[in-house]
Amino acid sequence: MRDRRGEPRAPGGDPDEAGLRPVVAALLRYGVLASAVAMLVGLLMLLIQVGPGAFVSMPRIRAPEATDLTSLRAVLRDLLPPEPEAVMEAGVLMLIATPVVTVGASAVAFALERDWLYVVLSGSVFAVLILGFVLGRSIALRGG
Amino acid sequence: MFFAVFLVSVVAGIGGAILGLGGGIIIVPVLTLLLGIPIRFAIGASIVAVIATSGASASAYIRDRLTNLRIGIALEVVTTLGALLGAVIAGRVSPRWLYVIFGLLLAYSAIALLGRLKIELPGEVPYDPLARRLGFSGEYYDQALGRRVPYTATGVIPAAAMMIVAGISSGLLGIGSGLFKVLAMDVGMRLPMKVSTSTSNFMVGVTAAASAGVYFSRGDIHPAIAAPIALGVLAGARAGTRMMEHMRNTTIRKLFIPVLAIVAASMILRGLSVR
Repeated sequence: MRDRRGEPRAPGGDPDEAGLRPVVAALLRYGVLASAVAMLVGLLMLLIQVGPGAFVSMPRIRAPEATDLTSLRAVLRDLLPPEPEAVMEAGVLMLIATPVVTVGASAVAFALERDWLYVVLSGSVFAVLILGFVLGRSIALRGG
Repeated sequence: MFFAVFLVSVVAGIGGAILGLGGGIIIVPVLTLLLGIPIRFAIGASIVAVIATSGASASAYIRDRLTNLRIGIALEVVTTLGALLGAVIAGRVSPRWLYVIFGLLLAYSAIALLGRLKIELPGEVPYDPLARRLGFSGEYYDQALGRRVPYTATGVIPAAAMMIVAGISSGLLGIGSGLFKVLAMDVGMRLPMKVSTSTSNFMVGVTAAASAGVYFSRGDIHPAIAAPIALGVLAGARAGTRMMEHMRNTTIRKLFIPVLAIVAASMILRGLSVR
Protein backbone atom coordinates (compact mmCIF):
# COMPACT_ATOMS: atom_id res chain seq x y z
CA MET A 1 0.00 0.00 0.00
CA ARG A 2 2.81 2.36 -0.86
CA ASP A 3 1.83 5.85 -1.61
CA ARG A 4 4.03 8.21 -3.55
CA ARG A 5 1.58 10.75 -4.83
CA GLY A 6 -0.06 11.81 -1.61
CA GLU A 7 -2.90 9.32 -1.84
CA PRO A 8 -4.40 8.45 1.52
CA ARG A 9 -2.44 5.65 3.08
CA ALA A 10 -3.87 2.39 4.31
CA PRO A 11 -5.15 3.02 7.83
CA GLY A 12 -2.60 2.02 10.43
CA GLY A 13 0.11 1.57 7.82
CA ASP A 14 3.46 2.91 8.90
CA PRO A 15 4.40 5.38 6.17
CA ASP A 16 6.67 3.04 4.27
CA GLU A 17 9.71 3.35 6.46
CA ALA A 18 9.95 -0.41 6.76
CA GLY A 19 13.17 -0.66 4.79
CA LEU A 20 14.67 2.52 6.17
CA ARG A 21 14.23 2.04 9.91
CA PRO A 22 16.47 -0.98 10.52
CA VAL A 23 19.25 0.52 8.35
CA VAL A 24 19.25 3.88 10.11
CA ALA A 25 18.88 2.36 13.60
CA ALA A 26 21.74 -0.11 12.99
CA LEU A 27 24.07 2.53 11.53
CA LEU A 28 23.53 4.84 14.50
CA ARG A 29 23.90 1.98 16.95
CA TYR A 30 27.11 0.53 15.58
CA GLY A 31 28.64 3.93 14.79
CA VAL A 32 28.12 4.97 18.41
CA LEU A 33 29.35 1.60 19.67
CA ALA A 34 32.55 1.65 17.58
CA SER A 35 33.39 5.19 18.66
CA ALA A 36 32.68 4.36 22.33
CA VAL A 37 35.07 1.39 22.13
CA ALA A 38 37.81 3.58 20.59
CA MET A 39 37.35 6.27 23.24
CA LEU A 40 37.43 3.67 26.03
CA VAL A 41 40.57 2.04 24.63
CA GLY A 42 42.22 5.48 24.42
CA LEU A 43 41.34 6.19 28.06
CA LEU A 44 42.67 2.77 29.14
CA MET A 45 45.93 3.40 27.26
CA LEU A 46 46.24 6.70 29.08
CA LEU A 47 45.67 4.92 32.37
CA ILE A 48 48.39 2.38 31.59
CA GLN A 49 50.88 4.95 30.24
CA VAL A 50 50.40 7.76 32.72
CA GLY A 51 48.82 5.95 35.65
CA PRO A 52 45.69 6.78 37.65
CA GLY A 53 47.05 10.30 38.21
CA ALA A 54 45.94 11.17 34.69
CA PHE A 55 42.32 10.85 35.76
CA VAL A 56 42.65 13.02 38.85
CA SER A 57 43.83 15.99 36.86
CA MET A 58 41.65 15.28 33.85
CA PRO A 59 40.42 17.18 31.96
CA ARG A 60 43.64 19.07 32.59
CA ILE A 61 43.10 21.86 30.09
CA ARG A 62 43.63 25.05 31.99
CA ALA A 63 46.26 26.30 29.60
CA PRO A 64 44.26 27.18 26.49
CA GLU A 65 46.17 25.11 23.99
CA ALA A 66 44.33 23.79 20.98
CA THR A 67 44.81 20.17 20.09
CA ASP A 68 47.01 19.66 17.03
CA LEU A 69 44.75 16.79 15.97
CA THR A 70 42.90 18.96 13.47
CA SER A 71 42.89 16.78 10.37
CA LEU A 72 42.24 13.18 9.48
CA ARG A 73 45.89 12.91 8.47
CA ALA A 74 47.12 14.16 11.86
CA VAL A 75 44.91 11.67 13.71
CA LEU A 76 46.00 8.77 11.48
CA ARG A 77 49.67 9.73 11.86
CA ASP A 78 49.42 9.52 15.65
CA LEU A 79 47.73 6.15 15.44
CA LEU A 80 51.02 4.53 14.29
CA PRO A 81 52.20 3.72 16.91
CA PRO A 82 48.94 4.54 18.74
CA GLU A 83 49.00 7.56 21.02
CA PRO A 84 46.16 7.53 23.61
CA GLU A 85 44.91 10.97 22.55
CA ALA A 86 44.84 10.01 18.88
CA VAL A 87 42.88 6.84 19.66
CA MET A 88 40.31 8.91 21.59
CA GLU A 89 40.15 11.50 18.80
CA ALA A 90 39.63 8.71 16.27
CA GLY A 91 36.63 7.67 18.36
CA VAL A 92 35.38 11.26 18.38
CA LEU A 93 35.75 11.41 14.60
CA MET A 94 33.79 8.18 14.16
CA LEU A 95 31.06 9.71 16.31
CA ILE A 96 30.93 12.87 14.17
CA ALA A 97 30.85 10.78 11.00
CA THR A 98 27.94 8.65 12.26
CA PRO A 99 25.04 11.06 11.50
CA VAL A 100 26.61 12.01 8.17
CA VAL A 101 26.86 8.38 7.06
CA THR A 102 23.33 7.77 8.35
CA VAL A 103 21.86 10.57 6.24
CA GLY A 104 23.77 9.35 3.18
CA ALA A 105 22.52 5.81 3.71
CA SER A 106 18.93 6.98 4.09
CA ALA A 107 19.19 8.67 0.68
CA VAL A 108 20.16 5.27 -0.74
CA ALA A 109 17.36 3.52 1.19
CA PHE A 110 14.78 5.99 -0.18
CA ALA A 111 16.15 5.40 -3.68
CA LEU A 112 15.61 1.65 -3.24
CA GLU A 113 12.01 2.43 -2.26
CA ARG A 114 11.75 4.70 -5.33
CA ASP A 115 10.67 7.58 -3.14
CA TRP A 116 12.31 10.29 -5.23
CA LEU A 117 11.07 13.25 -3.19
CA TYR A 118 12.86 11.89 -0.15
CA VAL A 119 15.94 10.95 -2.17
CA VAL A 120 16.20 14.65 -3.03
CA LEU A 121 15.51 15.78 0.56
CA SER A 122 17.99 13.43 2.26
CA GLY A 123 20.47 14.00 -0.57
CA SER A 124 20.34 17.76 0.07
CA VAL A 125 20.90 17.29 3.80
CA PHE A 126 23.89 15.08 2.97
CA ALA A 127 25.23 17.73 0.56
CA VAL A 128 24.87 20.49 3.16
CA LEU A 129 26.71 18.32 5.73
CA ILE A 130 29.61 17.73 3.33
CA LEU A 131 29.60 21.44 2.47
CA GLY A 132 29.77 22.11 6.22
CA PHE A 133 32.97 20.09 6.51
CA VAL A 134 34.55 21.74 3.46
CA LEU A 135 33.49 25.24 4.58
CA GLY A 136 34.50 24.35 8.13
CA ARG A 137 38.05 23.64 7.04
CA SER A 138 38.38 26.83 5.04
CA ILE A 139 36.80 28.98 7.79
CA ALA A 140 39.13 27.39 10.35
CA LEU A 141 42.21 27.75 8.14
CA ARG A 142 41.41 31.42 7.57
CA GLY A 143 41.61 31.72 11.33
CA GLY A 144 37.96 32.70 11.65
CA MET B 1 37.62 15.89 38.43
CA PHE B 2 37.27 13.12 35.86
CA PHE B 3 34.43 11.55 37.76
CA ALA B 4 32.68 14.89 38.33
CA VAL B 5 32.73 15.53 34.59
CA PHE B 6 31.58 11.99 33.91
CA LEU B 7 28.64 12.32 36.34
CA VAL B 8 27.51 15.64 34.88
CA SER B 9 27.63 14.06 31.43
CA VAL B 10 25.48 11.14 32.56
CA VAL B 11 22.86 13.60 33.84
CA ALA B 12 23.05 15.59 30.58
CA GLY B 13 22.57 12.36 28.61
CA ILE B 14 19.51 11.30 30.62
CA GLY B 15 17.91 14.75 30.32
CA GLY B 16 18.73 15.07 26.64
CA ALA B 17 17.30 11.65 25.78
CA ILE B 18 14.04 12.36 27.62
CA LEU B 19 13.48 15.91 26.38
CA GLY B 20 14.79 15.69 22.81
CA LEU B 21 17.74 17.95 23.51
CA GLY B 22 21.46 17.56 22.91
CA GLY B 23 22.49 18.44 26.45
CA GLY B 24 24.78 21.33 25.48
CA ILE B 25 22.82 23.64 27.79
CA ILE B 26 24.13 21.59 30.75
CA ILE B 27 27.61 20.72 29.44
CA VAL B 28 28.80 24.19 28.41
CA PRO B 29 28.04 26.07 31.67
CA VAL B 30 29.36 23.25 33.88
CA LEU B 31 32.64 23.02 31.96
CA THR B 32 33.22 26.77 31.80
CA LEU B 33 31.80 28.03 35.09
CA LEU B 34 32.56 25.12 37.44
CA LEU B 35 35.69 23.63 35.90
CA GLY B 36 37.23 26.72 34.31
CA ILE B 37 37.70 25.09 30.93
CA PRO B 38 38.08 27.67 28.11
CA ILE B 39 34.80 28.29 26.27
CA ARG B 40 36.08 27.05 22.88
CA PHE B 41 36.92 23.58 24.25
CA ALA B 42 33.63 23.55 26.16
CA ILE B 43 31.68 24.22 22.95
CA GLY B 44 33.81 21.69 21.04
CA ALA B 45 33.09 19.03 23.68
CA SER B 46 29.43 19.99 23.74
CA ILE B 47 29.09 19.45 19.97
CA VAL B 48 30.49 15.94 20.43
CA ALA B 49 28.17 15.35 23.41
CA VAL B 50 25.14 16.40 21.34
CA ILE B 51 26.05 13.92 18.59
CA ALA B 52 26.58 11.20 21.21
CA THR B 53 23.23 11.82 22.95
CA SER B 54 21.50 11.91 19.59
CA GLY B 55 23.09 8.70 18.28
CA ALA B 56 22.44 6.68 21.43
CA SER B 57 18.85 7.83 21.94
CA ALA B 58 17.77 7.98 18.29
CA SER B 59 18.94 4.44 17.53
CA ALA B 60 16.55 3.18 20.24
CA TYR B 61 13.69 5.53 19.30
CA ILE B 62 13.97 4.70 15.61
CA ARG B 63 13.87 0.97 16.37
CA ASP B 64 10.80 1.51 18.59
CA ARG B 65 9.08 3.60 15.87
CA LEU B 66 8.85 6.76 17.97
CA THR B 67 11.07 8.85 15.71
CA ASN B 68 9.43 9.90 12.45
CA LEU B 69 12.31 9.70 9.98
CA ARG B 70 10.54 11.51 7.15
CA ILE B 71 9.69 14.48 9.32
CA GLY B 72 13.24 14.49 10.70
CA ILE B 73 14.94 14.38 7.33
CA ALA B 74 12.62 16.85 5.57
CA LEU B 75 12.96 19.42 8.34
CA GLU B 76 16.73 18.86 8.53
CA VAL B 77 16.98 20.43 5.06
CA VAL B 78 16.06 23.86 6.45
CA THR B 79 17.75 23.29 9.82
CA THR B 80 21.19 22.40 8.43
CA LEU B 81 20.95 25.38 6.04
CA GLY B 82 20.14 27.56 9.06
CA ALA B 83 23.11 26.09 10.96
CA LEU B 84 25.42 26.83 8.05
CA LEU B 85 24.03 30.37 7.79
CA GLY B 86 24.59 30.81 11.51
CA ALA B 87 28.18 29.61 11.25
CA VAL B 88 28.86 31.92 8.29
CA ILE B 89 27.41 35.07 9.92
CA ALA B 90 29.09 34.27 13.26
CA GLY B 91 31.67 36.93 13.89
CA ARG B 92 29.93 39.40 11.53
CA VAL B 93 26.95 40.14 13.76
CA SER B 94 27.01 40.68 17.48
CA PRO B 95 25.26 37.72 19.07
CA ARG B 96 23.99 40.02 21.82
CA TRP B 97 20.64 40.89 20.31
CA LEU B 98 20.20 37.38 18.98
CA TYR B 99 20.48 36.07 22.52
CA VAL B 100 17.73 38.51 23.56
CA ILE B 101 15.47 37.77 20.57
CA PHE B 102 15.86 33.99 20.81
CA GLY B 103 15.46 34.19 24.59
CA LEU B 104 12.21 36.10 24.21
CA LEU B 105 11.02 33.58 21.59
CA LEU B 106 11.67 30.74 24.03
CA ALA B 107 10.00 32.62 26.89
CA TYR B 108 6.93 33.21 24.73
CA SER B 109 6.88 29.50 23.81
CA ALA B 110 7.11 28.50 27.46
CA ILE B 111 3.92 30.48 28.09
CA ALA B 112 2.28 28.98 25.00
CA LEU B 113 3.19 25.50 26.26
CA LEU B 114 1.59 26.14 29.65
CA GLY B 115 -1.77 26.18 27.88
CA ARG B 116 -1.04 22.72 26.46
CA LEU B 117 0.09 21.24 29.77
CA LYS B 118 -2.82 18.85 30.14
CA ILE B 119 -3.00 17.70 26.51
CA GLU B 120 -1.86 14.06 26.38
CA LEU B 121 -2.46 13.58 22.63
CA PRO B 122 -3.25 16.19 19.98
CA GLY B 123 -6.28 14.35 18.55
CA GLU B 124 -7.68 15.63 15.25
CA VAL B 125 -5.58 18.40 13.70
CA PRO B 126 -6.43 20.81 10.85
CA TYR B 127 -5.71 19.38 7.39
CA ASP B 128 -2.43 20.53 5.86
CA PRO B 129 -1.90 19.59 2.18
CA LEU B 130 1.88 20.02 2.52
CA ALA B 131 1.96 17.58 5.43
CA ARG B 132 0.16 15.06 3.26
CA ARG B 133 2.39 15.66 0.25
CA LEU B 134 5.46 15.06 2.45
CA GLY B 135 3.94 12.02 4.14
CA PHE B 136 4.11 13.58 7.60
CA SER B 137 2.06 10.98 9.44
CA GLY B 138 2.65 7.79 11.33
CA GLU B 139 1.80 5.63 14.26
CA TYR B 140 3.59 4.52 17.40
CA TYR B 141 2.87 2.22 20.32
CA ASP B 142 2.63 4.24 23.52
CA GLN B 143 3.97 2.19 26.43
CA ALA B 144 2.50 4.56 29.03
CA LEU B 145 -0.98 4.55 27.48
CA GLY B 146 -0.79 0.91 26.42
CA ARG B 147 -2.14 1.53 22.92
CA ARG B 148 -1.20 2.48 19.38
CA VAL B 149 -1.33 6.18 18.60
CA PRO B 150 -1.80 7.31 14.98
CA TYR B 151 -0.92 10.91 14.22
CA THR B 152 -0.76 13.44 11.37
CA ALA B 153 1.10 16.74 11.23
CA THR B 154 -0.33 20.15 10.52
CA GLY B 155 1.25 23.63 10.14
CA VAL B 156 4.36 22.55 8.24
CA ILE B 157 5.30 26.06 7.03
CA PRO B 158 5.42 27.75 10.47
CA ALA B 159 7.27 24.71 11.82
CA ALA B 160 9.83 24.98 9.01
CA ALA B 161 10.35 28.67 9.85
CA MET B 162 11.02 27.72 13.45
CA MET B 163 13.46 25.05 12.28
CA ILE B 164 15.51 27.73 10.48
CA VAL B 165 15.65 29.59 13.80
CA ALA B 166 16.76 26.32 15.45
CA GLY B 167 19.55 25.95 12.90
CA ILE B 168 20.75 29.56 13.19
CA SER B 169 20.66 29.31 16.97
CA SER B 170 22.82 26.18 17.00
CA GLY B 171 25.23 27.41 14.34
CA LEU B 172 25.67 30.84 15.89
CA LEU B 173 25.19 30.40 19.62
CA GLY B 174 25.95 26.69 19.91
CA ILE B 175 22.79 26.04 21.95
CA GLY B 176 19.03 25.97 21.67
CA SER B 177 18.77 23.70 18.67
CA GLY B 178 16.80 20.93 20.42
CA LEU B 179 14.49 23.30 22.28
CA PHE B 180 13.37 25.04 19.09
CA LYS B 181 12.96 21.72 17.29
CA VAL B 182 10.70 20.22 19.95
CA LEU B 183 8.68 23.46 20.02
CA ALA B 184 8.32 23.48 16.22
CA MET B 185 6.95 19.94 16.25
CA ASP B 186 4.85 20.11 19.41
CA VAL B 187 3.35 23.61 19.12
CA GLY B 188 3.71 24.11 15.35
CA MET B 189 2.95 20.71 13.85
CA ARG B 190 0.99 19.39 16.83
CA LEU B 191 2.61 15.97 16.90
CA PRO B 192 2.41 13.83 20.05
CA MET B 193 5.08 15.07 22.49
CA LYS B 194 7.04 11.79 22.36
CA VAL B 195 7.18 11.89 18.57
CA SER B 196 8.38 15.51 18.78
CA THR B 197 11.15 14.86 21.30
CA SER B 198 12.37 11.60 19.74
CA THR B 199 12.38 13.08 16.23
CA SER B 200 14.29 16.04 17.67
CA ASN B 201 16.76 13.57 19.23
CA PHE B 202 17.50 12.23 15.76
CA MET B 203 17.74 15.73 14.23
CA VAL B 204 20.05 17.46 16.74
CA GLY B 205 22.90 15.04 15.93
CA VAL B 206 22.65 15.83 12.23
CA THR B 207 22.51 19.59 12.90
CA ALA B 208 25.52 19.38 15.22
CA ALA B 209 27.47 17.40 12.63
CA ALA B 210 26.91 20.30 10.18
CA SER B 211 29.03 22.61 12.34
CA ALA B 212 31.39 19.98 13.81
CA GLY B 213 33.80 20.41 10.90
CA VAL B 214 34.55 24.01 11.89
CA TYR B 215 35.32 23.11 15.49
CA PHE B 216 37.38 20.05 14.61
CA SER B 217 39.52 21.91 12.04
CA ARG B 218 40.09 24.71 14.54
CA GLY B 219 41.46 22.24 17.10
CA ASP B 220 38.61 22.94 19.54
CA ILE B 221 37.60 19.30 19.94
CA HIS B 222 40.11 18.19 22.54
CA PRO B 223 40.04 14.39 23.00
CA ALA B 224 40.95 14.60 26.70
CA ILE B 225 37.78 16.67 27.34
CA ALA B 226 35.44 15.39 24.64
CA ALA B 227 36.01 11.64 25.07
CA PRO B 228 35.12 11.28 28.79
CA ILE B 229 32.09 13.53 28.28
CA ALA B 230 30.94 11.57 25.25
CA LEU B 231 31.21 8.30 27.18
CA GLY B 232 29.23 9.70 30.13
CA VAL B 233 26.56 11.10 27.86
CA LEU B 234 26.24 7.78 26.01
CA ALA B 235 25.64 5.93 29.29
CA GLY B 236 23.11 8.56 30.40
CA ALA B 237 21.25 8.59 27.09
CA ARG B 238 20.81 4.83 27.16
CA ALA B 239 19.18 5.06 30.57
CA GLY B 240 17.15 8.10 29.52
CA THR B 241 15.55 6.38 26.53
CA ARG B 242 14.19 3.59 28.74
CA MET B 243 12.72 6.12 31.18
CA MET B 244 11.14 8.27 28.44
CA GLU B 245 9.30 5.43 26.71
CA HIS B 246 7.35 4.71 29.90
CA MET B 247 6.49 8.35 30.58
CA ARG B 248 3.28 10.11 29.70
CA ASN B 249 3.36 12.89 27.11
CA THR B 250 2.11 15.31 29.76
CA THR B 251 4.97 14.33 32.12
CA ILE B 252 7.55 15.03 29.43
CA ARG B 253 5.95 18.41 28.74
CA LYS B 254 5.99 19.22 32.47
CA LEU B 255 9.73 18.49 32.57
CA PHE B 256 10.31 20.43 29.34
CA ILE B 257 8.71 23.74 30.42
CA PRO B 258 11.05 24.55 33.36
CA VAL B 259 14.12 23.77 31.23
CA LEU B 260 12.71 26.05 28.53
CA ALA B 261 12.09 28.84 31.06
CA ILE B 262 15.61 28.57 32.56
CA VAL B 263 17.31 28.63 29.16
CA ALA B 264 15.12 31.56 28.03
CA ALA B 265 16.01 33.56 31.15
CA SER B 266 19.73 32.83 30.87
CA MET B 267 19.76 33.74 27.16
CA ILE B 268 18.04 37.07 27.81
CA LEU B 269 20.36 37.82 30.73
CA ARG B 270 23.43 36.97 28.68
CA GLY B 271 22.28 39.22 25.86
CA LEU B 272 21.53 42.14 28.18
CA SER B 273 24.65 41.85 30.34
CA VAL B 274 27.29 44.39 29.42
CA ARG B 275 30.51 42.87 28.18
